Amino acid sequence: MEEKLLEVKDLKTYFHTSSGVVKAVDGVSFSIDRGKTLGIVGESGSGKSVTASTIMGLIPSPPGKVEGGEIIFEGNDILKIHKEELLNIRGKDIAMIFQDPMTALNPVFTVGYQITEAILAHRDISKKDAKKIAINALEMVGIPDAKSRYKCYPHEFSGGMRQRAVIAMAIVCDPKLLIADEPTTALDVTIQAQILDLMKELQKKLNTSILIITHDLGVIWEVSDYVMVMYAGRTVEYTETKTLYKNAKHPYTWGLLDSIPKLESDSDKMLNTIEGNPPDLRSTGKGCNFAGRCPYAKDICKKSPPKLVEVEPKHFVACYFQTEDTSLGKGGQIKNE
Amino acid sequence: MRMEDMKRHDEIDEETLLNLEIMKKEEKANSFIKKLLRNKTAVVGMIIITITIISAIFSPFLSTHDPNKVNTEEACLKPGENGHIFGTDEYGRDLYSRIVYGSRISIIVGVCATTLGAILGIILGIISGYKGGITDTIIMRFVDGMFAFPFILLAIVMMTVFGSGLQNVVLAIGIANIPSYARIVRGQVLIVKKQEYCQALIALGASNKKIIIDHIFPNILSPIIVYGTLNIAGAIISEAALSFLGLGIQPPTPSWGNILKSGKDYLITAPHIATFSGLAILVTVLGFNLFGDGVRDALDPKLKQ
Amino acid sequence: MLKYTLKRLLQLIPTLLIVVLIIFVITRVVPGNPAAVMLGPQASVQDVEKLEEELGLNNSIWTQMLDYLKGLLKGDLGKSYYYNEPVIDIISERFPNTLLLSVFSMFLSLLIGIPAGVISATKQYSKFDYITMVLALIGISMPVFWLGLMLVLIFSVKLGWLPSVGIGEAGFIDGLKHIILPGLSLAIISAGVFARFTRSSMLDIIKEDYIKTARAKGLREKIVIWKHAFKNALPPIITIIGIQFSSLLSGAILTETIFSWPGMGKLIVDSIEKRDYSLVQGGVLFVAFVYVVINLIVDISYALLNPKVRAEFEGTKEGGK
Repeated sequence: MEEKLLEVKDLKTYFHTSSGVVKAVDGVSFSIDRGKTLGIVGESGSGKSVTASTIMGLIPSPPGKVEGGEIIFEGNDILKIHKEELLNIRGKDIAMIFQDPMTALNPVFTVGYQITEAILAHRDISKKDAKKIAINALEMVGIPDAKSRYKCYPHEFSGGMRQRAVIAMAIVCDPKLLIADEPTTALDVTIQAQILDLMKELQKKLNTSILIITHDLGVIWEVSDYVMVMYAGRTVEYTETKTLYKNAKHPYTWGLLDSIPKLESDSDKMLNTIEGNPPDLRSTGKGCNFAGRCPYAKDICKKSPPKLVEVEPKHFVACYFQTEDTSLGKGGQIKNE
Repeated sequence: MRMEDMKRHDEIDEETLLNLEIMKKEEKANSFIKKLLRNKTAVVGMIIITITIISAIFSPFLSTHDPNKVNTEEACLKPGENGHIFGTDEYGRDLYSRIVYGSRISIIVGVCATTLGAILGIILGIISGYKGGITDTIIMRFVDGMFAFPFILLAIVMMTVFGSGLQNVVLAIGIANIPSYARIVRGQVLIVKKQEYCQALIALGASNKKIIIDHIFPNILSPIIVYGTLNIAGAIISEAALSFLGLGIQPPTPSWGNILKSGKDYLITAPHIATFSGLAILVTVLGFNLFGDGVRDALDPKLKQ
Repeated sequence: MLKYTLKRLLQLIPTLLIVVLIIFVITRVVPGNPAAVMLGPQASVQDVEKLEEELGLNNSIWTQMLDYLKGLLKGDLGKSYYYNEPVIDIISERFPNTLLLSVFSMFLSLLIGIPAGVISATKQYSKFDYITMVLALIGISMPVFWLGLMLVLIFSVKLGWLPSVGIGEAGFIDGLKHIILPGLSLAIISAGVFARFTRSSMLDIIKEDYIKTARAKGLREKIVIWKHAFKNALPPIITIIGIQFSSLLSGAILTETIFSWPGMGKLIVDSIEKRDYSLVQGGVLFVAFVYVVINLIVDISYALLNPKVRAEFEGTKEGGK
């Protein structure tokens, strides 16, 4: 039986701005098992990064505020625990990798120092031992000549090397959960593959769970066991990666899948795009957030938000026409079962 | 037929483009004023500045006494005594009226010295940045040399040489301001000159005058406006400092600085002289600083809200 | 780094030459005969001629400047007419007092301004932020000479707590008592500048990704702010410290006259009144020199603080080997 490491229930994170309340995350639920990988996919502004930041407790407040829900990590709701305890979890049990390695490292400290600092924040060991662990971690992420690299400043590293250093910093305390927010977006394609391979390799070695956030379904296929598709702050579909690939149910997911260029397809053919723009997050929540762009939308879609329903084992969809009783085909026909 | 059509099409396009440009400019100006009015501190600054300017223009109507009328029997009266709102100075002159008239000196020096420094500095900066080479080196070395003096020291030395008086105060403060403008303008000119469209214009053989007036000048305008507004505040303080040292505006002409000077000598017996004249300086300078901050925020494209 | 320092030192030479030229031109265009002005209206024609001869005023301005430069190289700034002493001796006696006052008020203003700015930035738009920024703006709008007078009025005249005149020669405590008022009047203005500048600098840094990284590591907020953010905000603050130190020197000219502080500012202002031109010239030149040196120190420390810049210079040094 698989054990749940992290369980997020109906999480809501809003930003209170002068022009209204931005519902960045508006009722998101998912869970991650030990040693497994969950990918969150969605376009920018879908709330995927805010979800990650909320788990880390890194939402700037004000204007951000967690309005509801639970984040249960190893049995405790980390939204309710004391700030001091959160400091012990952050960086130790849950670590994070950021999108842009060029800006994620502090330019005025050496790479080694920044890694050592992460160790010393959580473990009561001597600086010398911490340095050993740090060099070890640098070697583990594949940085050659780690001992001399330890003393380098971030600007002396290339982009790929920096991301490796960022990963080293994240894994140095053997985290149980690693959150990677678009870890490859800012990198060259060849280096992207290397970094993803590195993450998979480290996961095997350390038995870490990974929460990977991306807008790139290709990355999801590559690394994750489960996938959650987010749209305008809500979960629209949540299932095993292979199921999503074979049997996607939500019209938004279809659009997303269609917009990936395929090798076998005719190069003259235009890529399919989803018509329209994502909704203004200050006015969402009345109906299905995708209704405005959905080719199959009916009146009901605009009136109240659809619930996330388990249409088949381990496959959740939030769509009025995809339930246990009804199913929507890609052509628009609805079958009642 | 077709050619003509195309030509007409082009003309219309140019015209609409021109209109669009004008509209854009107006829109820009409008949004600038809107932003400025939304900024509370800028509005407070504007109110203070307006009051100072009104008191400078309408001094005869706003004052209660003749500012220069000596009455030794009423020397050093406390505020409110005998109908003197702020009291009297050591010669029995009405302090309130002297401060009202003193605003004239502050406004004149603030505006004129800033304008003088700005004009000369802009000219030097444009020449330096645009010409480059040996001209640039000579001008910038000279500017460096002027920067090597503490501002007030430069003004003090010049006042010693020029002699006191309003005209010389304006001259000294104005000249001492030149290097800052020259540096700001030169930096901006270099940035603009490097941009592609400017390079293209130079390559196309546009005249220097046209490039400077049409392209470089609009770009240096906003930093100059921001610096200039704040600079008025600095010039007002400098005038007060020079007059306070006895080098600037000479009594009996009332200036906040020379009133403060006598306030210093009578600090124990008549502290109100120093208090009120200094407050006048502080409030006015604060007004210009508040306004300058507001202008900067309104012109800063980074700050959208 | 050494190469950079040397390069900057060499750049000083033309600047200082221009400084001398500017002072020379300004003091030589004085209307009337400087010798006659210095001696006053009662002086005889012979006396004036004698002094002219002594001061070398009969030579062309270029010869005068050349002579002056020659003297400068030997550390000779001429002789004070009023004190009948070499200018350099008077300056070396007075300058430490100005330096003491400037350093004291710099220390005080950093102590007030930087924490205020950092806290304001971390609590942007809070009441603390709002009040601090209003106070800071009032601070920078304050005429230093008026602030000095008001401090005297309150703490010396009304309360009688602190002396308002002189430097205090009866030991450390007495000295401290004497420096508080002039130091504070200078410090309040600089503190305003520091608070505003530190705040805006910190606000830029706090938005950076590496601050998020530092927080994600589980570091305490205090360490995130004061170590990770502040160290990055420091280089621009250092520049401002340099500029502020210069303006403290300017401010000292005015403050010293109010508090009769026997420093360079009071010396120059007194010499102007006494028409002691060689002393004015020497004093101004000296202050300008200090000004330039401070700017140099600022530039170098700026380079030292920034590993990228530092690496660039170390790189060229290695290349030169």
